[in-house]
Amino acid sequence: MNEPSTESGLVQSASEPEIQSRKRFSVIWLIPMIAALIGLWLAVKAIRETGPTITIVFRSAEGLVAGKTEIKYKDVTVGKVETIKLSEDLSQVWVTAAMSPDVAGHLSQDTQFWIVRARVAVGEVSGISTLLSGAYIGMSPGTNGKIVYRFQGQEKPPAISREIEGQQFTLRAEQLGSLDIGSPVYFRQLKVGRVTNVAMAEDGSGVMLEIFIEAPYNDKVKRTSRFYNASGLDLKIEADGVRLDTPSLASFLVGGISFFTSGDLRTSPPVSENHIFTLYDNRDAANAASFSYREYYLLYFDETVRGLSPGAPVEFHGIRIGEVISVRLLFDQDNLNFRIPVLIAIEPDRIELSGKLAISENTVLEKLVQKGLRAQQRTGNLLTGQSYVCLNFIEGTSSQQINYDDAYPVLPTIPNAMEEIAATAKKMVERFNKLPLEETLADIRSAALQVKAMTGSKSLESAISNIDQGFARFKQVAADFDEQTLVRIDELLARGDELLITANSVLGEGAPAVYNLNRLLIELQDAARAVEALADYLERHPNAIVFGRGNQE
Amino acid sequence: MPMTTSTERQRTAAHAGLLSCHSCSMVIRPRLPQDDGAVRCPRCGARLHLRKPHSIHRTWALVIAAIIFYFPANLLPITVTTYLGSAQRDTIVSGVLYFMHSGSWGIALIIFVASIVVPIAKLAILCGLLLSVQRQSHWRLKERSQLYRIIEIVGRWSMLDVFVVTVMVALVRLGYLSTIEAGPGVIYFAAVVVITMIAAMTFDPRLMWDALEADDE
Repeated sequence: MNEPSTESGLVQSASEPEIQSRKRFSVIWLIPMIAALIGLWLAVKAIRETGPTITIVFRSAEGLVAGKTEIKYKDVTVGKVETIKLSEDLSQVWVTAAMSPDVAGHLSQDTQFWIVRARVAVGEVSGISTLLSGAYIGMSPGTNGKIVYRFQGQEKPPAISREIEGQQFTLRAEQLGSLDIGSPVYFRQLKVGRVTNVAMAEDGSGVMLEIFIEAPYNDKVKRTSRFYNASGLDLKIEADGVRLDTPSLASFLVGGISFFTSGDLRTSPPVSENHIFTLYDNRDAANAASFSYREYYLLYFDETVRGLSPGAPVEFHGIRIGEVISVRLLFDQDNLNFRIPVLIAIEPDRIELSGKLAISENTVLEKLVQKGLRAQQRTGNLLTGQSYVCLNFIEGTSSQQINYDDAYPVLPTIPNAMEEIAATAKKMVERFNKLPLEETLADIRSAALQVKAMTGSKSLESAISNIDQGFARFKQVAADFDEQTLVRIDELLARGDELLITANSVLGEGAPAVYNLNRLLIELQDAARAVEALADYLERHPNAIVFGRGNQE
Repeated sequence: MPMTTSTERQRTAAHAGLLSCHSCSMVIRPRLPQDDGAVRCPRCGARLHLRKPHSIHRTWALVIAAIIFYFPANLLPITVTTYLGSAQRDTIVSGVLYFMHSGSWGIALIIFVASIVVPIAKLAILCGLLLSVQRQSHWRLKERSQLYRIIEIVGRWSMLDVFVVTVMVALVRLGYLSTIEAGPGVIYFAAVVVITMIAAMTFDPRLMWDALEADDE
């Protein structure tokens, strides 16, 4: 409207034509339109990027800054703290935070928030920066459900994130060292997990650490695995120079745990539930500790345990499978007798396995005891008198069972081997003592007398008298035939003389038969004397039966 | 209005049927337009207009665009400062507040004036001038002309903020320790400054005085 009027004022003469610009859409209006479009786009974007505002209740707002502290999930910022207020009774802190719309759908009843303070940094290489960047609020999204706008903040991070697969293990340490929640766990210097919880052991004797090993590395933890504190430097000056062991920089700064599994990974037994590993101070200590998994048993001995001290080996068929933990003396006030409880530790990992177990692990030992497994104290070294405990299968023992009444299972025992031998020897001597030696000797004597009687008197006399009779009868016969055959009688007489001479030579004094008989009698007497001497000797040296006659005298 | 101005109103070039070339300032009495409908300067060949063409439309368009851009320029961060891993986003206002809190009142004032006062003043003044021209207002023509001269001179100083951001981004590159990056707000702020400068150029202050002649007729 304005311009045409001024243009018309341009010319003075009416004849001049009006130069009138055509009224058309000016391109210049595209500029504000583009600006409006950009503005609209920005506005829509801003609205779409605005998620819900939630309130989290914490006990303390330590480290939180309004407008700066971020809420992170998996290290991605999903929200920002807007205001920090105290509750009306001043007991709590109300933190309002603007959340990103990405996680709006996960703000349900089981969503968890916790303040991650300086310890956050642990483990990651980026951890060094977060060490300095201050606290943030960690978030664990909930399952899809009804959206909630008010949350109770946790004091500790949740032990396990829901979406990470893995397994939880428990370690026991003398002291915590530089470890804390979030400290990394390394396997072959690869980060495979982290510490999720730290607590004092119930009896105050140590610190219990819960660690979470992510899949698939949780399979690498076996019962033979040994954990050790990998924080700090390990400097050693040895004969062959200076040795410096350093963990990764991150674990050097913030501490960490390493573990290794001795033996074959495939055949190592898996970890039983509730198994507590020992956390060693360093790798050397972990190496030195031979077998970490131990089972404890109690043995009751009634005999002397001289030479049996803590640390003495427990052997099976001569192979060490454990050690003696303690030897005590127990006085039973009810029965007024002494017993010696010996606590032993058996390291089952020393025993290799084959085959498949049909029964449960706990009943294996019971079956073995039923098969005759017994504990026995034996002298290992005769010079020093050191004893050890030996487990063995004893055939034909009365069936006994493990007694579970005590603090530890009680294995049945049998007496010391030396004592057993002594007992046997004693029994043998007793048996010898009971032998009827006296009667035997008497029998032998009487037998000899009988021989003497037989040979010495009546029979010989009768024999001689018989000969005399025969001679007399011969004389009679000779007289009968005297007249008839004088010549023949003479001859007969001569022959009779000869016969007499022969008879004399056979039967007379100094004849060989009599001599032989006398010899026999003498030898029988000697034999009887020798038996008597033996009996005497045995009476005095009963062990001679076993060990033979010594070379005395 | 003082009478002296009204007695001399016939002396304006437009009233006398004269116009001046935009580029060589030659005073010409225009004749009928040539074939293409454009009047050209006989000396330099530039197109001749009695007043800047579509001045009010163009200025309005640019002013509205600038106003629209002014919002993201102030709401979006102009710098993203990363210090030891923690990023901080600063808008113009938060920057001013930061300097105020840290005691640098001088710097806070300069940034406040250059980045907040001047652009708003420019847009407000341009709007006022445009409205007054459209209403053919006679009100304080001289002061309005002075205002126009001021915004033309002062407008470019708003770019100060943009330059500061540019220099800081280039200088503070300490790797991991600290870096400064330009935020999206800078683009919109620069757009506001440039568009208002163009708007001030497209506005023809002579239109204000034309109101007097229109009244006369």
